[in-house]
Amino acid sequence: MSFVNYQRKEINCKIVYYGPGLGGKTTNIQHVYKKTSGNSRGQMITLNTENERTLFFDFLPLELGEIRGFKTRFHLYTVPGQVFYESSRKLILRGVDGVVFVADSQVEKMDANKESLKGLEENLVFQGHDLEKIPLVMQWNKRDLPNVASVEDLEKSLNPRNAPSFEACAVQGDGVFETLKMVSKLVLMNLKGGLS
Amino acid sequence: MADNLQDAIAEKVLDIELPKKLKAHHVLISNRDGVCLYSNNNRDINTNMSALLGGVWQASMALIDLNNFKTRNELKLGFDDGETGFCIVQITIATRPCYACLVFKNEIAPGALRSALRLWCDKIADALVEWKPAAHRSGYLFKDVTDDEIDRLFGFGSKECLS
Repeated sequence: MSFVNYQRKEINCKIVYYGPGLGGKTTNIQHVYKKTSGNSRGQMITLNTENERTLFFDFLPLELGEIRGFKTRFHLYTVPGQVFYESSRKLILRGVDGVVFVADSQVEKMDANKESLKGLEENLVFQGHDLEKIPLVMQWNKRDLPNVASVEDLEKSLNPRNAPSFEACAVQGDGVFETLKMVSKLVLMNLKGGLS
Repeated sequence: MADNLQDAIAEKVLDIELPKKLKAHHVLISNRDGVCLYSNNNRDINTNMSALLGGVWQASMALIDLNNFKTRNELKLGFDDGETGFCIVQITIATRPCYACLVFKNEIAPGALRSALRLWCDKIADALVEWKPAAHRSGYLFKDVTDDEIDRLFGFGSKECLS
């Protein structure tokens, strides 16, 4: 869960990038890492397999500026996308404040997207989250590839809750910050605990 | 008493000092979600260490659960070559599961260090057993957040970060 220190005026939030294997979750946070200045970003941790697939998680701490006097830190995590890492995904979702679902737009990946989304829903419920309340942003990634489903089809199949969605080509950085900024906004607006 | 666990621990550490033998090493406490609650060393790596601590402990617990491992003894977790490495102990501070990690180098008896860490953590946990966060704050911290505020928050690095 988010951690707000009222005395020090600090906010820590956890955002998890979730989605099918090879969908571009790691690429998203690698792009954020590349484009942020040294003062804002911490060290990026990647726990990879021999083939450079995510084994456990990637982690990037982002120290942003202040919002209404509160110093803001976002901890970005990715989950391993491969089907057999289900138990790791469950662990990483613990304490999550916001989720980016990175879908692979290619037509042949629709089933993998659906399976991953179903897993996300189950794992969020397992961790005690209310699916209607948790900040969620959908990202339609790999829009640069030839055989992609239409955005309408992706929305219809994967976004029944009408969560905010963005087209992206993470490998070129398109849509990466738009997605992150939207989920950050939703997470900040969802923080409990008024100041009065 | 402080209304935040980070500050509450910081206050208690003033009274319950780290033992001398631990002071020379890096000691860090994080909560279950990987947020650093205390460190005796203000280092850049604290955030990353805290994230990994939670992951390492929880992955180990998951491994144990898979094997239906049952014990009434305290679990130990460490990674070292006999002289250099780290150990983790789990502590419950005010009903919240937390992890304390000690990173040591060139030690002849790391087992003794671990025991000292355990004892110190228990004292901190005992001192905070009655601790409760400040009364629940109702409503949301920010009722609304504008796009301009988010742009300013992300106003680092390249222009690409801005809309």
